[in-house]
Amino acid sequence: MLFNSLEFLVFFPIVLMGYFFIPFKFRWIFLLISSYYFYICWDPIFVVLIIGSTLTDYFCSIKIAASKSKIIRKRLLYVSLIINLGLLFFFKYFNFFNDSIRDVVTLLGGTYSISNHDFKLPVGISFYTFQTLGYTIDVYKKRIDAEKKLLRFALYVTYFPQLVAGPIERAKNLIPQLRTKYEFNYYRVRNGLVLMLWGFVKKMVIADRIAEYTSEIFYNPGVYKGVIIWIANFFFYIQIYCDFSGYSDIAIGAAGIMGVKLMRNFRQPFFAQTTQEFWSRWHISLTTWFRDYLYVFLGGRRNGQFRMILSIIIVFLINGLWHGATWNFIIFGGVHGLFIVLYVLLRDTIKKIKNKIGLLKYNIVDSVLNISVVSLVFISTSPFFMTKTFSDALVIIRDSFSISISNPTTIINIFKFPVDFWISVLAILVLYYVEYVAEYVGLENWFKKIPKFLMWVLLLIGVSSIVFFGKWDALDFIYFQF
Amino acid sequence: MRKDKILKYSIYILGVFCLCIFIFIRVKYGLQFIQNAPFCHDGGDLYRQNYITDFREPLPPFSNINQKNKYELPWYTNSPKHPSFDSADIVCVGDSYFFFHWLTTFPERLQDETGEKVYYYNGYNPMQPFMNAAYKKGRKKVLIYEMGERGLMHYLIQRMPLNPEPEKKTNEDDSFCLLLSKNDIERKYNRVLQRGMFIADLYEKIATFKFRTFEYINYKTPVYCLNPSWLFVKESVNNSESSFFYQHTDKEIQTLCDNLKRIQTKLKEEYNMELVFMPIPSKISIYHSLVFENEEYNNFLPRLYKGLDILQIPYVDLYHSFVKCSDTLYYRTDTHWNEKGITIAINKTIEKLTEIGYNNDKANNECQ
Repeated sequence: MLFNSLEFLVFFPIVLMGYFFIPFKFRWIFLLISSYYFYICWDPIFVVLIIGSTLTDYFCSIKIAASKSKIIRKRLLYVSLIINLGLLFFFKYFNFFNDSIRDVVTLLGGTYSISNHDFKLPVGISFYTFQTLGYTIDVYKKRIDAEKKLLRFALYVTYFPQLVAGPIERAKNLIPQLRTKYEFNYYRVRNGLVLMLWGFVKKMVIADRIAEYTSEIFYNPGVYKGVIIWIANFFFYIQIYCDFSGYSDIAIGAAGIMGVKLMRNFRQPFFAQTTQEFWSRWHISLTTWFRDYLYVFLGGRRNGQFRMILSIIIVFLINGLWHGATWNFIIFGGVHGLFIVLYVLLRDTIKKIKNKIGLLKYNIVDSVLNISVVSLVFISTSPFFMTKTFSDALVIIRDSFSISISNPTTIINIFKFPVDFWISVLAILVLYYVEYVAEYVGLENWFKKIPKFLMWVLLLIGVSSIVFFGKWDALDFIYFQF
Repeated sequence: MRKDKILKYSIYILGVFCLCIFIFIRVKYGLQFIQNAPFCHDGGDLYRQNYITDFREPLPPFSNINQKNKYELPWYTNSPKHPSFDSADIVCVGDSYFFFHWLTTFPERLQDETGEKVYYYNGYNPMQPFMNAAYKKGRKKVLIYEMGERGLMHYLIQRMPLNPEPEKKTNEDDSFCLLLSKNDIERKYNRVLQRGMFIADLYEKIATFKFRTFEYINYKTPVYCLNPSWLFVKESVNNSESSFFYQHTDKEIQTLCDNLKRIQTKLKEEYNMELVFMPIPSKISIYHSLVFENEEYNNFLPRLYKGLDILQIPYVDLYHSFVKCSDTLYYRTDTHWNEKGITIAINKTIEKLTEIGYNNDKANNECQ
């Protein structure tokens, strides 16, 4: 069940009605059933995996919490890691590594007979695997107590607003909230609905509209050249942000209506001034997961600069691999890691140069320059994210540097309806304005300052834009594939 | 406090409303009740892809309405006039041109016009009804095999299985388990949105506004004209092999003919059936000048006819008859033929049956 489907528009009010109507002590059971139904709507068979993952981590964490022996605790942690990562590896990465090994063996003149499996990728497996793993590690590290009620733990794993595409919640944040009684609150419900509305606008009006252009360019390598590709790269930057942050907004808004505050997943990444900062604003729940559970484990900053650089590179390569089992994603992650390392190494030099040429005196110019560079890093690596193969990405990158003057109507006509180009441009401007307000004023403050009628006008515009300009073809969210 | 209550009760009302829709679209006839109409096959109805008033063309009432149950239209796999495969004189196999709900169907008309027992099977593989009925070779009969022009490159370019598995009957609709079913749920919700009793008018107004202001139209009907309003289906005008623009190679034409020959031989040798092939021209093949000023028809059907002549496969040449006719033979906003179109098709079929000596064969059969 996609958030941007009619099915969800019917499902969610039913859940809300039940949630507020049912006495508190049964609410979480109702939510658990709803969450399983939500997942079953995709593919009932894969619910077995979630149940398996839930049982594994529940029993492992209970035993870890009960055991005083360090060896037993460690072994139980390994059991959890092996089962969870094993399932993730099998469904998501087996074919990729199998193909890669086959290529190497064939290159060396050998024969390789292990064939790929043809199972579908279970929706949201990367998200809930990381969520349950984080929980078990936290119990092992004694950061949290193990949840004793199996079904409540099951709800933590499957809580439907964030089940299939995050935010990857931490147990210490979510589980206590699932135990807490919430009364109906007008402001909380209103804010949640507004956030959901904004999420729908981002997904259905902006991301899915721009997707027409980017798909045409990235799925037809070799056809388009020059400016057309750079526009596609920029559009993709906007598309993936609106797609994923739109999903996160809907998830956070939906949970918020029910009294659960999910962690923030995006914090105006367009205004990041370094690649490092960009990743602290982009998919925050994943980045902080890697920081807390992998970067620190690898040594992080504690063991000198070389170890830190190595940790960054490894974390970003795995970050890329998390996004998808292709070399494209690994390269995408690697390039971003490399830019972070470069910045860490050259930070002082860059500062000196800027100082020398007097750039630091002009804060705005410096900021705009920094933001542009960070955006350019993402924009120029877009082909790796969007194309299907490595060679397709190379063709797109090569063609992006070919000098060809495109007629503006050619660019506009890549959209099925020319008016969509102008709507996209307008929508991007609005998006940047909202992001600007959020970054420098704060949306809540801004909402408090504007007259009440204006707020209603804005809400009406939001709803109308979905009705009149929303793409109702229920396109998948890009991050579902991860 | 007052705001709290208003919002809370609004959520309850909305929740109950959604729960009703949730249940209704899952129980038998629930969706039909919401839209107050039968759930029929209308894949070719291009107006219903859009709901834009400018393209609303009055269609006649359903020809085969069920008097006992207004919500159920037969998606039949055999002709209601003659449901027995074994005792039929003529077997019709084909898709929507043969069972188009808005007209008395082709098999029924053929039965009325010729007085023969006509059996109809809805499908693309002409061998399927033989397998379903475990039919054994009997007296000589005729099989009329219909296929839309845009389906030819899809279904006949590959070799069709000559001995397909018999089909099993499904009783999916009878089960209350549909409550948990996820079959086509989104499509059903879309139907509620587009045709629900209280919302259909609003939906049409919005769709019409979007079309008139921004020229938004469903991607399934990208080519259209206004005054008079015509819609053309995507597959016939895009860059696929089914398209008006596709230039078929000689090899492709030959392959199509060879595959039909294979079917003809099998039918004749194994079941004593004479094949009459009836490719139906796409609407765009006849009326392309309405939307494309400088484009000429790719001549697909005439080229195919030549190949069929060489291999001595009998066919009903509708293309040349349709081109010559000055009347409108298709619904302007549906992919199918209209009353005039189907009448020409019936007449041409009867001509062809006479030409291949069907009546003489029948007389011989009866004498024996």
